[in-house]
Amino acid sequence: MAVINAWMPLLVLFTSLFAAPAIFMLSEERWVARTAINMTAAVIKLALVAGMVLGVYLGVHYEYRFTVVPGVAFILRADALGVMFAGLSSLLWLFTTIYAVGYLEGSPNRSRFFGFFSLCVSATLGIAFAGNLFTFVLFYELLTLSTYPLVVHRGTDRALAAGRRYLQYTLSGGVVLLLGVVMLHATAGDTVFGERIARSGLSSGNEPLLIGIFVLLIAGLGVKAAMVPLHGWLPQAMVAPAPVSALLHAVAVVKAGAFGIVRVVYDVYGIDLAYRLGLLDALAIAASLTILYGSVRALSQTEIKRRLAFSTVSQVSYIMLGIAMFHPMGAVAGLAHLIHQGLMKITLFFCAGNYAETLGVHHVAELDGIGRRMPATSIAFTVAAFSMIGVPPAAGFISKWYLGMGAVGSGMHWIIAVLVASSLLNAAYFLPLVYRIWFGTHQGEWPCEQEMGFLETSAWLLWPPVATAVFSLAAGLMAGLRFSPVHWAELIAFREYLP
Amino acid sequence: MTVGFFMPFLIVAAVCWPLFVALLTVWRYFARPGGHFANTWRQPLFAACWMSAPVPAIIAYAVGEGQVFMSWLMMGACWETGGVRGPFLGFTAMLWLLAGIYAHGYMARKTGNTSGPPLDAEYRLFRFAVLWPLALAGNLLLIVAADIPGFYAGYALMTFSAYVLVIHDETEDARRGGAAYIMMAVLGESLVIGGLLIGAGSAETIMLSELSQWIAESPMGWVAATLLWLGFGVKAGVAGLHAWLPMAHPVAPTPASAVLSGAMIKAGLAGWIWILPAGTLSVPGYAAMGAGLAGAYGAVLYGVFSRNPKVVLAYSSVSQMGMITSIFGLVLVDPSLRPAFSPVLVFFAAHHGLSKGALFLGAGITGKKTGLPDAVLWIAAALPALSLAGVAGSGLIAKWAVKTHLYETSHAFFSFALTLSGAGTALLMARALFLQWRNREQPDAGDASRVPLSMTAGWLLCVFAAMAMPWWFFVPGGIFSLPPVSELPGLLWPGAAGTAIAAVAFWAASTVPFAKRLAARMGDPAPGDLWRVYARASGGIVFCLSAIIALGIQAEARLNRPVEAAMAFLSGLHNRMAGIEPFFRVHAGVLMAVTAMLLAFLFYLDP
Repeated sequence: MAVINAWMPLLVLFTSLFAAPAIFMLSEERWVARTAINMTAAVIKLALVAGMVLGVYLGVHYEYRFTVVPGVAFILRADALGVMFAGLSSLLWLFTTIYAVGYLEGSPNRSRFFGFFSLCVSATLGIAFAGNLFTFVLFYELLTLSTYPLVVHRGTDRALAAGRRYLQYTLSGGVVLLLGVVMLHATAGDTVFGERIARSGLSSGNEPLLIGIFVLLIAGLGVKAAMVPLHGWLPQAMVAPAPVSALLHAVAVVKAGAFGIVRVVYDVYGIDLAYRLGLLDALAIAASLTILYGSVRALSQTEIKRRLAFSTVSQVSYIMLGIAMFHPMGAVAGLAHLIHQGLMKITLFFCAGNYAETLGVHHVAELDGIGRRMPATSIAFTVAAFSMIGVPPAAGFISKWYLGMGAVGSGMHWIIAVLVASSLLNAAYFLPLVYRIWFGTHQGEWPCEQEMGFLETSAWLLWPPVATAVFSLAAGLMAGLRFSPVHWAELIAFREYLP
Repeated sequence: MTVGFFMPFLIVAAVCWPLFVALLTVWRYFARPGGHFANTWRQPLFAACWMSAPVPAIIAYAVGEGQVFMSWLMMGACWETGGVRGPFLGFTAMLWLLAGIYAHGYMARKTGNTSGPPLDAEYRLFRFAVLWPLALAGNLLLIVAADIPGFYAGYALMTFSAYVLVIHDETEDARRGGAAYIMMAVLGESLVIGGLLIGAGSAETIMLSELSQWIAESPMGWVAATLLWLGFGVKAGVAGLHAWLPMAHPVAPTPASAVLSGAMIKAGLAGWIWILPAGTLSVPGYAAMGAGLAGAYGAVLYGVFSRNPKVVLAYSSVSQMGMITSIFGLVLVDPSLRPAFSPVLVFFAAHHGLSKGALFLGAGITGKKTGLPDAVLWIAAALPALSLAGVAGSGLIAKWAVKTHLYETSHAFFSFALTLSGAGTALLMARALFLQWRNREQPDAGDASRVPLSMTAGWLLCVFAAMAMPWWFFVPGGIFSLPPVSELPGLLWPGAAGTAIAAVAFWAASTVPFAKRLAARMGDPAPGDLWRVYARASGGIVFCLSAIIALGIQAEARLNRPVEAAMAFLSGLHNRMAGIEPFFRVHAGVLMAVTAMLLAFLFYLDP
């Protein structure tokens, strides 16, 4: 058993890492072989991760490590937080693969796309299983590089400009992060997640340095997490194909940043130390500003995907807001929202992609009456939008509820006002879309209608958003069940962080 | 086996059966696309199923009290029908049932009559048919849920579903009413969730009762209480927050107006009763009394001039809810009144719900061909109006109950003010009936066909249920009976006074030349009185917001500038380095030699 436990994280990583070169080598026309490899890898990975989730629940220890140079180790291991993120990404990877197969039907460079797609998921899982900051940074940079070809996939001027902007932001962020990691390494040695600085006794006397390093780390990670004012790349990057946007916004890039911040606050510094240094208040304020700013900007966007992108800016900061509260409920909220936001946002991007692919609808004003043409997609969109607003019983409400509990419990009552304002703004930019979808009157032709099978659109495109919409409803409705996101977040919060 | 064994199933069925009906409707619509839903709608089996949505709730009310826990549902759900929840559930479900019977005929007739593409009419019918049971499920859930998330889920489900009922006709008025409705509703929901989060977070609970206890005991309780009072006040149409109500209720299809004004408006009251404790909230209490009386009188003064009977009825709802609000305010101020007044409030709410429902349903039927003799038709139309004015039926009983309990308190002025507002109600009722009577002579050309039996039946049953309330509707802890004859003059004079004023006004407007001209000159006041003021104010807010956004965009551009400058510098550096490259190539040997010597020197320094 012990051997398997060491190799499991590697095995999960390799399923997609090996799929990547195989896909690169296939010629464009080998649709069946490519799809088979993709799907097999996705299903195997999901099964393996599901097994690990169960294992972690039962207390099995998964860890693989080797020493790179003395004092620096490469560690892959699965703790409760890691498998949570891994579970989210492997589940949504499966849906996104299905969706991407349908979406890219007949377009050029599919092998290149799916190759980097697989690499990107490997990097995400590497981030999930990284056991120290060194390993984390390694996969974090790999993620940057493997997503760039996906962002510029279409090769248009707009896509290339977005890709350039993306690299500028993320590589600079990576440098800042690296600086922080190196400084921390120089100060505290190899920082294995979970062996918090507070325990090493280093924290007394070094406060200014530790605060400086924290700011560097958060600034570096905040670029990917799209915290204002480091969010500039995200709205531009939405020119990428819909499955890429979905992945970027829900699982991979943005989430990797948020996940890194969770690691830094909980596993590197430890919540007590971060609280003592006064870093949590600063983080909460930065997150609140991001939440409000993103929502306000979303109001005036006329392009659907751009509006969704600003909504991501806003919603991802709920995670940071949750962990910035010095309260277990806040931790539960932030961690659960990591999953909830992924489910909701991927649904919205899938739907936006369906509208664009099937009918050529890209702008808010063109949505009029689309609900009657594409009812299933529109129902999925509506569910996800209401969930985003925080209407019960959908997942977004559960996040909001626990955030509120945490805010009051930690004495940060002003956060309630932020939450209410954010809900109002969410309603203000999502309800007009829902209104147009169901109550607008459609006249004339759709901008670019394509016949795709006997359903409202191709089945490859239809089922993923329907499934994720069901998940985002179920995650809220059945939050009391054992393996619901909230339940798992409670497990992490109570088992690991607040002993 | 005892009744108690079945109660949990009944309570779950009460909420889930309407949800199932909604799902069934969706399935029937999509199973056969392209113009079959109107036929499905007319199938007896489907119709019976659709109309039966509130039946399990009525059975649950009739059978008794019960409780059910579901730990897996959200944060753990607890649904119950104890205390005043049972009767609340009873009258709500009853009104939904009768309005649903009416709605079936109404929609069938409407779908048959509308011009335009038949698919449009079908789509609207479908939309109505799905959202009606969904709104019903929300309304029932907020009554039975004893846990905060469940209550709020029901509240939100009802609010958002009802929007579709409001906007159904998609006329200019309907869209405006719908916009007013949804804006105020979202604002109200935000206040409610703010209050719930503060309260539940501080009390560390998910149960409504414990939240209520916390508000009563904590010095900070008033913050949550104020937010909740205002938030629910939007739904209940408290004066100042009511502007959406006369815009939204009348524009909905008639049966939807009935449930909006009869049942859903009471969700605000339910929230107040479930959460706000008596005694410690004297400031919101006095505010409630003031706002309630202002609404009770103000709505009469504005609404009586409207020329649309449904608008008059909506203003009457604002007025009646004003009375309920002020009584509830009194309870907040004086905790000793709570035990006596909770049942009275529920009885009053039920009486208003069924009577107002019957009036709305009647307003949609009096101008049309029913096959009933005129005398029966107009008596049935007038009965709930008399009841609401407090001179007959459940209205008389409700009034007597309020009065007997108020006698025992020292609030003489309040008692008088409340009694006098009955005159206003009578005035509004006379106005509404008069407008219906006048409209009867000019029926719409396209509506000449006889109305379906289900419409007439739903309406007459509703009138009957409203008048016969004392015989089928029970509230634990309250005894409701007809007043003794000696008390009648004291109870009937406001109604008589209101009717007399109406009669004088009618006589003046039809005979005195000056009054005639005045009446002709006075236009139809737009429903939603204060809405224009709000619209202008929110225009200002939007302006400020867009200014902030513009500033943000500028700042963003400025933030990008250093990034771009740094990039330009780097690429310049790169070019310069490219210039050095040939030098390295040519002098490679020399450079290597120099490096080797340097290294040797370093080794020499540090042996």
